Amino acid sequence: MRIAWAVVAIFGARFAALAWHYPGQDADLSWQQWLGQRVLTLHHIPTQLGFETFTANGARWIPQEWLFSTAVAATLPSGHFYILAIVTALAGVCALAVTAWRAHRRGASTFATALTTALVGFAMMQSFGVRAQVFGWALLAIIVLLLDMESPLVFLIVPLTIVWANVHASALLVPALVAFWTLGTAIEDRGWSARVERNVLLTAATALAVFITPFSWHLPAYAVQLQTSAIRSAISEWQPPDLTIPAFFAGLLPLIALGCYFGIAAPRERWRDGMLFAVTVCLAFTAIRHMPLCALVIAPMVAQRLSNAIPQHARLNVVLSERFSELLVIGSSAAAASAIVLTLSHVPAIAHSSLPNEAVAKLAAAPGEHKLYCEDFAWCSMALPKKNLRVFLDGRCDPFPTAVWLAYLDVEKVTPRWSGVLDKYSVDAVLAKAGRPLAQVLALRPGWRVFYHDTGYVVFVRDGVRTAER
Amino acid sequence: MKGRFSAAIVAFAVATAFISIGRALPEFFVQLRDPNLFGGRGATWLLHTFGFSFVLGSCAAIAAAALLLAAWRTRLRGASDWHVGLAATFIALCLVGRIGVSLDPVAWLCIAAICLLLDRDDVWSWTAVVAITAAWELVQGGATMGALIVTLSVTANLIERRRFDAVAARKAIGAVACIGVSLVQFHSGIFSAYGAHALYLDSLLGGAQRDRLWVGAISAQDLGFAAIVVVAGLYGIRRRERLGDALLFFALLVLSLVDARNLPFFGIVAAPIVADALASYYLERRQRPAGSLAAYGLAFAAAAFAFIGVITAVEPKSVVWPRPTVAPLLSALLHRPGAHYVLCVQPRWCDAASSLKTRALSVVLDDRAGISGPAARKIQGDVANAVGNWQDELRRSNVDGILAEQNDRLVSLLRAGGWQSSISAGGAILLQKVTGQ
Repeated sequence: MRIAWAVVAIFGARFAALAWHYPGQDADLSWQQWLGQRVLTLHHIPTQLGFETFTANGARWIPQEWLFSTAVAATLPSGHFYILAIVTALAGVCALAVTAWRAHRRGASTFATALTTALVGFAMMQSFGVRAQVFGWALLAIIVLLLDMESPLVFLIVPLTIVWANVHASALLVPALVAFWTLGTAIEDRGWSARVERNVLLTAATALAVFITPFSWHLPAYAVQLQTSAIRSAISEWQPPDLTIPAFFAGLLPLIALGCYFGIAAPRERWRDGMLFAVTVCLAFTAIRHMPLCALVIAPMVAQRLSNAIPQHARLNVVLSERFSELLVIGSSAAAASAIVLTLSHVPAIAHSSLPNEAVAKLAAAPGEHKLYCEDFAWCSMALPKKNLRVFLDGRCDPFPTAVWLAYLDVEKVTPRWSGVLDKYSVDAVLAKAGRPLAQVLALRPGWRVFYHDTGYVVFVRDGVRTAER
Repeated sequence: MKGRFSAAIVAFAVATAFISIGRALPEFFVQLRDPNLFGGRGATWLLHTFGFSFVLGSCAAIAAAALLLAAWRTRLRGASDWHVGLAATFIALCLVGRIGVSLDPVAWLCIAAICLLLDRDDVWSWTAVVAITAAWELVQGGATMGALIVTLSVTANLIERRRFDAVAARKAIGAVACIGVSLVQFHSGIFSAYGAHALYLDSLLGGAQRDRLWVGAISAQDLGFAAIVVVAGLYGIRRRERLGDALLFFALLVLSLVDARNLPFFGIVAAPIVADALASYYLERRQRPAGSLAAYGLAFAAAAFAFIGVITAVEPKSVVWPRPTVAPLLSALLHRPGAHYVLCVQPRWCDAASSLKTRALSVVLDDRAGISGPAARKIQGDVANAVGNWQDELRRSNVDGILAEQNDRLVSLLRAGGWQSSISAGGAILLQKVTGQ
């Protein structure tokens, strides 16, 4: 198990380094901070989009990440973001460590536990950030551990689901997982048994638990509606995993392959495992953001089956269990963890902000009110606190009506309707990535001029719009 | 009900799907003009002699035969009729995305036959494997897939036996022969390019045509892929202690993730393996097949002749291939005198250029990215995504026609740059460079 802890430490170092520099990488923190500040000052959660947007003012909004946003608002402006960064990294570490412990509890060998823990770590890397869903990963790891334990403690899943539902809407996964677990139990017990009865009760309780949020039934309805939403096509995390993504080919795919090779359910009549394997693997193929969830659930099962082929008394595991080997691995891991922290802190893409902070600030400093369209909707999140900027679409994305989304995509993809959309919504400022098609076509379009540009971004404004430079 | 005809019913459904869809795959028009593929010439001769319905019916019958061979392979492993039906269903789901007239069904039949013969282990079978690989290469050009499968199977066998004896030597010779015959190109062509294209590895190159699973709405082929993976995960392909099964399963799994056009091969190879793994848990239901393959083959041939005969008789006789949907756009370009160079945002659209049979029109890139040069792929990648110095590249390469989606960013960008859009068809629009630009 010590080897697995060493693996966890390496990934923990990477998580911590990424989390530390995260504010410069993700524009979503801006709207989360803005939302959190409204919660802290107004003492209620907004449920409608406001004047900050000119396309969907008054649209219903389910700010499912309200708790996390409050944490962002409580730490980021006061310079204490490092606390949230460390807590998020610890949540990632917790998810990994609990998964490793789950494998160990199942009797997985040293090698199998360490290998599968490393694979889970890789699978988590693509989506890791100071984000609400990382806390969901930790909660998921604990929930499946409780399911594994098959003790009265299993009902702790209900309060954990309530916590998860208030952190992130992905909590809706819990009733589905517990239902499939129950189905597996019924197959194993060949009918209705005390275990099945308990698990049915648990399924019902978790299904009710996701309603215990400030949004009551609106949260499950929102999560279901999101599955068919037009916005999915515009968000990279909702795209299916691909072989070109390291987290998939070096993390999740080997786990699935090992599962397929050894068999999860039938060889040991573990249909509870089999059901979870089936549902999470199918889920993982649909979206990149589901990869860590699948890896966390199936890794201990895979480790257990792998241990049948390479048991604890096998030479490899005996060598790994020797004190010298352990010291060697732990020492190497400590060195690797230090190297990761030091190296990542000097990688320009991570250590320096890649966001258009200055472009937004310059536009906000210009006189008058501006209706801003951002090529990447997340950038517009940075404009939310600016009183004179109103946005077309921002990182909150979910509450914007489908018509607005389609209009946004028309401009982002520069379809033949792009200029008509900008005219229709009276957009007078566009923030685009320099050199990209939108910037190219705006440069050629009469009636638009460059207001600001740097190496990465360019802001166009309509001719006739009053700005400081005119 | 013993499920005896379940696989046959699924095979009939697949054949019927061919007829009801009644299209030709875009790649087929490239295959028709490829001098290395004799299947194209054969298809053209069949078209002129018997008509399109006959070719369509033949493709349907060959696809059904491939499915039934895979089902027979499942049966030979001791699976019950219902498990065979399950394997056939998985295969059918995997085929859905590639249903249409092309030379692909020939490849499916070849791979099903090779897998069946690899499960047997005698001199006759190995001779037949080499012969099938050679025929496959000549007819469809994708025998690299067959050579890969044979090589993996032999490698697995060597690992399992842990000794190189006469049997291993015979298999190694067979594998080398398969690799050798898959290199045969009668009319030039770079092997590595053809080989990579046969496995669709070239789809990973920048600018290349690539079909992916799970993109957009969940499709039947996504379900087929997921079903095979999930059943393998539940039951474990290690169950039968055959390393060859595992190697083939994982190699084809990865190739399917590389490009969805490999999915039918994954289905044909992997579905019998997982159905066998599943069936091995229900010993009381295990059965050995009754009757001989030859007898079943004869019965199938009779049914196939009847099927093709009916289709040919009832459908109006047409001696031309169905026109690709974007072909009118390319034809419109030919109204202008001189040679034309066309870029298609979706390289697959440019396959239609092969159907026009003219030297006045050439394309930057079609389906076969591996056969084209890196310069063409760079132009394709840069222009299709409108990145880098794409406008300069477009000028330098003398591209005078572009096929783009009607909502594509290129339409706006090129119109702003003085290009004209004239006509549209099949979701694509033709943009032409204004003369004198």
